[in-house]
Amino acid sequence: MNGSKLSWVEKYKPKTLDEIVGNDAAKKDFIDWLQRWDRRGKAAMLHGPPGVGKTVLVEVAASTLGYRLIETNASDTRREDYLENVIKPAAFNRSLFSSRLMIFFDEIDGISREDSGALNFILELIESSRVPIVMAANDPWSPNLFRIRDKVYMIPMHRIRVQSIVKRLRDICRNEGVRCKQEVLMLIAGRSEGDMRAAIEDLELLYSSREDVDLEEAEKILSYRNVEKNIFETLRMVAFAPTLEKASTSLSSSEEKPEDILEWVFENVPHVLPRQSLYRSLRYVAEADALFKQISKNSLWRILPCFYHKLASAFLVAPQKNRASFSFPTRMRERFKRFQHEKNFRELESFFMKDLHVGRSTFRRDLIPLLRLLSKNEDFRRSMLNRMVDQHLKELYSSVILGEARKRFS
Amino acid sequence: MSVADLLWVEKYRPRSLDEIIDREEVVSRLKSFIKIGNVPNMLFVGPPGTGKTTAALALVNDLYQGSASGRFLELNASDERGINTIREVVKDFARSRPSTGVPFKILILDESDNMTQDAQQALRRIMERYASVTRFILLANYQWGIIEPIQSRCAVFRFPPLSPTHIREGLIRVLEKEGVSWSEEALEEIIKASRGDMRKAINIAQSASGGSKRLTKESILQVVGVLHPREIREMINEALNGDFVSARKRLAKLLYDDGLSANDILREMNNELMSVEMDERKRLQVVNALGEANFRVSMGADAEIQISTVLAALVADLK
Ligand SMILES: Nc1ncnc2c1ncn2[C@@H]1O[C@H](COP(=O)(O)OP(=O)(O)OP(=O)(O)O)[C@@H](O)[C@H]1O
Ligand SMILES: Nc1ncnc2c1ncn2[C@@H]1O[C@H](COP(=O)(O)OP(=O)(O)OP(=O)(O)O)[C@@H](O)[C@H]1O
Ligand SMILES: [Mg+2]
Ligand SMILES: [Mg+2]
Repeated sequence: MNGSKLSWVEKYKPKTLDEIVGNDAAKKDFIDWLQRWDRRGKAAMLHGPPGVGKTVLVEVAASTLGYRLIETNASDTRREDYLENVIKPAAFNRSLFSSRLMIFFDEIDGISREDSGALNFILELIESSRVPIVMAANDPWSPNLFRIRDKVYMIPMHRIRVQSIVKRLRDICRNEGVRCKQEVLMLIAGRSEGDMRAAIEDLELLYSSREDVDLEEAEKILSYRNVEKNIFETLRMVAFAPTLEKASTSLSSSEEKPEDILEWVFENVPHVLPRQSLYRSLRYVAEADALFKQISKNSLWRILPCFYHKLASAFLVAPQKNRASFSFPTRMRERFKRFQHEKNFRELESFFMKDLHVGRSTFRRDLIPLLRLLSKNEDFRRSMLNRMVDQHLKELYSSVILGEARKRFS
Repeated sequence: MSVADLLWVEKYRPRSLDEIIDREEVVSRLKSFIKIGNVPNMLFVGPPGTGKTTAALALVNDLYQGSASGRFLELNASDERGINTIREVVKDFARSRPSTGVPFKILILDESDNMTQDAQQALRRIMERYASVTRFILLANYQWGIIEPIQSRCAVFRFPPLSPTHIREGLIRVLEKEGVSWSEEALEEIIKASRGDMRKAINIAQSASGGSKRLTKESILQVVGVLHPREIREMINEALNGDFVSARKRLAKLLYDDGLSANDILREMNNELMSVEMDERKRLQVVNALGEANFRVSMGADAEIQISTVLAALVADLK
């Protein structure tokens, strides 16, 4: 990508108060506070989770109300010379022709408690400043801030609602000329946990090089980011461990559940091992699977180390052909979809099974393909639908049987 | 209105033991049970479409002489929930003992070889406890899928694949009733593709006849491939060509999209593996892996993981 191009988070940073989504109460509160501000007014602190617009609100409010913003963040406050030479003069600004000033300590919970110099400086400033002082923090209850907390006007900001995030994302898509599916936007917004910045970053990740992404693909791409580095690290350590013991220990000390580790190993063995070793390797995985079923059924947790030994062995049967291409387990990604699909199957088959005297396997193996073939015929289809009283059943028939039929024979 | 009359297999399923084609020994023994008015617990074993369900239903029908409703129940036993359902159902049976006629009810348990070993153990106790009021007819594709102690409580009846002559007989019976004409070579094609499975034969005939009321060789060949997807063979070929990842994907499709049972996939793989061309030492290794997978799946292990080892065995070159 072009290096000079703005990231979407930057590009779509709100310029006006209206563009800042959600947190209406906080917006109003902050503007009111600023407009009420006089020399004896206290300082204000916006606090809330990341990416909800704290920094942006301060910046936009300042420009809207005609303030020049003197901005500092956690790294600046450590520098005493900066505080003395830049902030102090601003706080006692007497110049008549320069514009009004506002001092902004962003990310103030980043100040360490040991940095009493900076804290004292800020406390002093709150008492004596001639210009408004604003702060932003994620965690206002951090012990570092307790002396400041009582002296400032606290304004909470909250996670942004999913619908509001979706709306903002849709606007961005329209502007970028990308086609966005509602379900993908919902996925992004849902995953963001109310963090607009994260949502926009995910959106850019998906759409910056493509115009259209479907849900499945989006899940695949985004799940990568979600997975804790942890499991990748673990797998890498296992794959390159010098001894079985080391490998096995890495697995057992991972925070993932044993059954999830099994999924990761099963997914990745064929990606990192040479073909020749696959059989030996997968046999270990299969043994681990069978063993785990016994362990959990009979509460044999004391032999769980054997399970980890087997999984570790699956990687150690051969040198890796490929350094770092671990992928997220398909089976974990598809779990929900497959569950839904299976549920549909079962509902449909319970209707057919009682009339047709077949078991589940026979239904799937012989009857579904038969129904698909016969359903190509209009009359047959109509007769079949006529025999289904339940609307839901008709829908299942249409999606499971006809939907497939259309795909296969059209 | 039932969907039964839309599908030939169901529409022309024999209602009485007398209509059943072949299976002479089975039929005569079942008739003798009816004569004495008692029935043992039974296990019907054989591949799909060989008349197991048909014989069980016909027995019930002949035994209760048309007033079977409420006296028998058909259950599919393939999942864990099944065993609890069975327990409930059997309990209810025990409570409502039939006052007149035959003093027991019949429970038909379809696909009982798909029950886990644990469920089968539980079933064993249920069979004992309610022996006085209920007779069980277990249907299975594989005898070895049923645990020993259950087998020993049952009279075992075998249902081998039907011979070409008998498949022909069954087909013609249906075609005549439907007023469909056929060419001799069309019939030959169906018989060949059915491999002794009467259901398969009739299904092919129905889907190939379309609206035209005439079966030709061409119309048969057209549907055979769709009704019996070649996916298992393709999966094996992919693995043989060294593409494990694609083969595993196809396996997942069969298991999750098509919802096929692990047993069906394993059986079909077994059939294919016998005919596909490969080094005999390798075949040994593959078949060994297949057996292991089969065993573990029946013990409750994960089908995809276990069957994947068979695919991996196909990938490996032997030095
Ligand atoms: N309420 C909002 N409306 C529109 N865009 C927003 C909003 N909140 C955040 N954004 C987008 O996310 C980016 C980051 O927002 P901002 O810097 O204000 O977050 P913050 O609350 O200060 O987070 P942190 O606590 O991590 O500093 C903005 O540049 C903007 O693109
Ligand atoms: N011996 C037979 N005589 C006449 N028709 C038969 C016979 N066997 C099977 N059929 C026909 O094939 C259909 C399927 O047979 P059936 O349901 O008895 O198979 P099954 O052995 O129970 O198979 P599965 O193992 O799949 O349950 C029946 O509806 C019937 O039309
Ligand atoms: Mg910020
Ligand atoms: Mg049957």
